[in-house]
Amino acid sequence: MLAPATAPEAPLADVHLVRAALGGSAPAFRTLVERYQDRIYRLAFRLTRDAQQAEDVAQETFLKAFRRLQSFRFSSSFFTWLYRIALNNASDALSRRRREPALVLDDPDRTHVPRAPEEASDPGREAMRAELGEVTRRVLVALPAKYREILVLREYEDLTYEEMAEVLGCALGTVESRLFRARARFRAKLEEMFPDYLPTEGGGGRIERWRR
Amino acid sequence: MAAMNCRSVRPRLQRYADGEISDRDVQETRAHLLDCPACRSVVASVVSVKRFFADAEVSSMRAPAGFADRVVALAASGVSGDADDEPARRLTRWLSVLAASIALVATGVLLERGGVLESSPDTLEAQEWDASRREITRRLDPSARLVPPAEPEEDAPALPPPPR
Repeated sequence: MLAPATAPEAPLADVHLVRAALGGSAPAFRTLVERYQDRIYRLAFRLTRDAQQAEDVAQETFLKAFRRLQSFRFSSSFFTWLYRIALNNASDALSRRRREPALVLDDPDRTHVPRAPEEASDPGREAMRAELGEVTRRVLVALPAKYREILVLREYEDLTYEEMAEVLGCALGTVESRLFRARARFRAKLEEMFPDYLPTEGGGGRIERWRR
Repeated sequence: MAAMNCRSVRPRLQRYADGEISDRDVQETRAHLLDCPACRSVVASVVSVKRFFADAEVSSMRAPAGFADRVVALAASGVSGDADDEPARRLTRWLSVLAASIALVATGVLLERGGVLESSPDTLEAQEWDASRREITRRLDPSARLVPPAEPEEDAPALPPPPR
């Protein structure tokens, strides 16, 4: 089963890297950071909606992970473990922010999402998508943390039910019921805050008209 | 295959909308949905929320430039990421050293008692660690060191707590 010498090697498995990092290997730790930094940063941004705070949360996540590597159980996957730390960090950061009202969510410099250059296509569609994104964002921020978190994990991060159970440290049944409730709460909050956007059976809501 | 009723279908409607059920369950659920407006509207309601989460802009975001450099530098300088848990840190360190010592002693006792010291020099875990070590040595520069997460005693191998 020798591969040809030119074939690219499969990336080093997380478990090898974790073990080496435990022994103090800087390149191993760096490889883990580089492997997951974008995902963790995006997760943090989706939870905090603040570029600076997302960076802080992501940084703290990796440092805490490094410090707590000894408590990592090799039976679970490294990235769900990392997600769990990131969720906790983001929730701490958000509660700190609530105590410091000077940092507002609406500061456009901090919440602005840089747009990838290649996807500047139809400006009308772009604008509508951005508007919808903003509606979703505001509704999410208004939900209790446990509902916001599970919606972010499922809808943005695309985790399976099993992965969510690992990240959230709860049973599959809890994931299902919490997710169901989170969606119901999302709809209810949407109706309260932005009734125009509420999807209707007949497809009369703004979102249906856009998506056609 | 007996036709499913609402009671048995309801618990899996959300999984159906999320694409998190087996092909067989999809078939059964779909067969029921075709005949049941009430269950269809449950699925429609889940799907209607899912549609709010198209988020292409954020999906293309990347961690800021130099992020990994900063994190590795901070880790190397011993910054923990925890603002205010120095006592907790000391405790964890102490506990992990204690756990490692106990594990070493326990392993020694077991090996001696079982008389396996010669015939089977490695536990499964030790073998896994050796495999990791070989991979890392081959593919990364093993000489670049970080401050280890906890400080094991000089002669203690850097092993995690033994499996439960």
